[in-house]
Amino acid sequence: MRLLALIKQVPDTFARLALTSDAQGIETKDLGWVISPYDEFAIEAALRLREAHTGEVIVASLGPARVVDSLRQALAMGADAAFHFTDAAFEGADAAATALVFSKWLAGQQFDLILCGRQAVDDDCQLVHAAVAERLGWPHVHVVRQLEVDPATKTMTAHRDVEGGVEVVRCPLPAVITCQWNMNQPRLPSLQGIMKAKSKPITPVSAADAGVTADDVAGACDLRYGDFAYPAQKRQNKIIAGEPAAVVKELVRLLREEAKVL
Amino acid sequence: MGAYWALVELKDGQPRRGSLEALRLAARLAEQAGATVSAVTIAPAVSPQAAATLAGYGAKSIERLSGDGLDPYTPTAYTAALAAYTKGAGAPDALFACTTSRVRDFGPRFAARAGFVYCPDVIEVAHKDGAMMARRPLYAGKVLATARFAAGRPPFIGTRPNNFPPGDPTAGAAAPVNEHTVTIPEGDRRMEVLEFQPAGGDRPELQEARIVVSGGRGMKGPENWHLLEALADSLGAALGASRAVCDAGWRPHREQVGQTGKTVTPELYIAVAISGAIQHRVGMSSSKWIVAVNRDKDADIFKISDFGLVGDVFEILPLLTAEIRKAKGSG
Repeated sequence: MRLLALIKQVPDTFARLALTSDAQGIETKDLGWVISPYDEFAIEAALRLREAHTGEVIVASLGPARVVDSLRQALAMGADAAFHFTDAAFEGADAAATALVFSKWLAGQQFDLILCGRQAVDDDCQLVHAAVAERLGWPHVHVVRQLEVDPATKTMTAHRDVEGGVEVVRCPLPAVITCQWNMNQPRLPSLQGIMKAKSKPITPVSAADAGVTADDVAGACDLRYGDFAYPAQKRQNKIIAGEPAAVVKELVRLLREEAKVL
Repeated sequence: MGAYWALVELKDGQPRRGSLEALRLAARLAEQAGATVSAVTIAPAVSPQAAATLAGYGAKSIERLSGDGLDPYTPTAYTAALAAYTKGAGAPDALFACTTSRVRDFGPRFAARAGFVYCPDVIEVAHKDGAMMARRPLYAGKVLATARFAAGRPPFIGTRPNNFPPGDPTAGAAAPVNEHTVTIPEGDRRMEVLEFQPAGGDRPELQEARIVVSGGRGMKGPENWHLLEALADSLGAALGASRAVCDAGWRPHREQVGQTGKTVTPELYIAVAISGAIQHRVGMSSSKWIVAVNRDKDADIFKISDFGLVGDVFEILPLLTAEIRKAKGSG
C-alpha cells in the first residue's frame, strides 16, 4: 500500500502567543514549532498500516524552511520519504489554497490512502482533507477512531466519532481519512530512527512541480486574517463564602437574576 | 435584493437550536442588507410545526431537499444534494449554518465543490464596505482574529454554537415549504453506513449544550460521578471532564474538555473539583458564565470564574442540585 500522511507544522501548543505590534498576526520570532498533535496520529496510523500490509509511508507538508524539522521527525518515527512543498508562491496559502496545491500534485501520484489529523490546532478549519478528497473525487471519512483496510478488495471500514456515538462506514479506496486522538498512541522516534532519518530523502516540491502558478494559489485563498486580539476575560471573580447551604442558595440566586441562565 | 440561506438540521423533526441561531443571524443580517432568507434543509419531512418555527426565526421560505441516498447521512451525498440545489437555484449571497459535527464534515467539501468560502466557528459577523467579515478563535482560542473573505465567491459562515442568541420566535409567522428532489450521482454514493453505535445517555451533546457540568480529579473516583450526573440532569446539562479524569479512565475521552479534547462555549460552565490547568482552560474559557467549585481557594480555576464556591464538593453538590431543582420547580 502507498500511504500518504499530510501534516502541518503549528506553534508549540504549550507556547504563550504574542501578537505582532500591529496586531495583524502572531509574533513567530521566538516560537517553537511542532507537528500538529492530531497529525501524529495520522503518521502513526500510516506506519501501522504499513506494518500490517507492507508498503510505503510518505509524509508531506507545505510551509517555510522550518517545516523540514517536522518532516524529519516523521521520518524518524519511521516514514520512508518526505515531500516539502516550498515555494515563494505558497506564501500566505490558507487551507483552501493548500488543498489546491496538494490535489494538483496528487493528480500525478499513486496513493491508496491519505491520512490527516482531524484538525490542525492553529486555524482549525478541518478543510484540507475534505477539499483534497473533493478535488480528487475520492471519499473522505472524518474523525476516525478505528480503521481496517482490506487491500484485496481495496476497501476500508472505519469507526468514526459522531455526535452521540460511533458510526461505522465502509468505502472503496483510494480515500482520505482524518485521525482522532483515540486511534492510536504515536510512537516516539527511537535513536536508531533518528539516525536513519538523516539519510532519508526530503524532496522539495515547487509550485511548478505541483502544477500550479502563484496566481492559482492566490486565487484559491479563501480567508485573510487580521485584527488579532486576546479574548476578553471579564470575569466577576466573586467568591461566595459561608455555610454550604447559604452559599448554594446565593449561587442559584446569582445564576437566576444576574446570569439569567436558569 | 440579495438571497441568504440558512442550512437547518432537524432532530426528531424539530430544528436544532444551533440551526435556529444561524437562521436568526442570517435574518438579522438580511434585514440590514435588504436580503431574504431561505431555510434549506435535507430531511424526510418538514412538519407544519417545524415550518412555523423556522418562519418565526426569520425564514421567508423553506427549501426541503430529498432524494435517494440521503438517509443515512454521508458527506458526499449531502455535498451532491446541496451542490445540485445550488446549481438549480443559483448561489446565494451568503450561506449560514451552525458548525455542528455534520457541517464540519460535509461543509468544506460542499464549499470546494460549489465554490463557497468556508469559515467555521464564527462568533461575530459584520458587514463592512459591502463585504462580510467574521471573527473567530484561532490557536485553540488563545487569540481571536477577523477573517476577510475572498471576493467573488459567496461566504459559507459556520456559527459557533451558543454565540448568537436566537431570542424568541416571531409569533404567527408562516413560510411555504418548497420541495426539491435531487439526484445523487453514483460517484457520491460509494460510502456505506454499516452501523451506528450509540454512546448511551439522554444528555445533550457536549459542544452544543447550553450548560456543561465538568468534573476533575478532585472528584476522587468514578464512583462519585453520580453527584455530577444529578447536578447535570437538574440543569439539563451535558457532562464534561478534565484530561486527568479521562486519562485515568474514570470517564470516556469523548467527555474531555480542553486543548486535546473538546472546546465548549456554553452559556454556563460549572467546573467541579477542577484545578484549571491551561490545557483545560483553553477548552472552556470562552463560556459565557463560569462557576467553579473547589476545595482549594488558590486553584487557578477561580481566576477565570464568575462565581466561585470554596468548600467540600461532596457536601456542596447535593445541596446545589436540590436548590436548583427547587428553583426550577418554582420558576
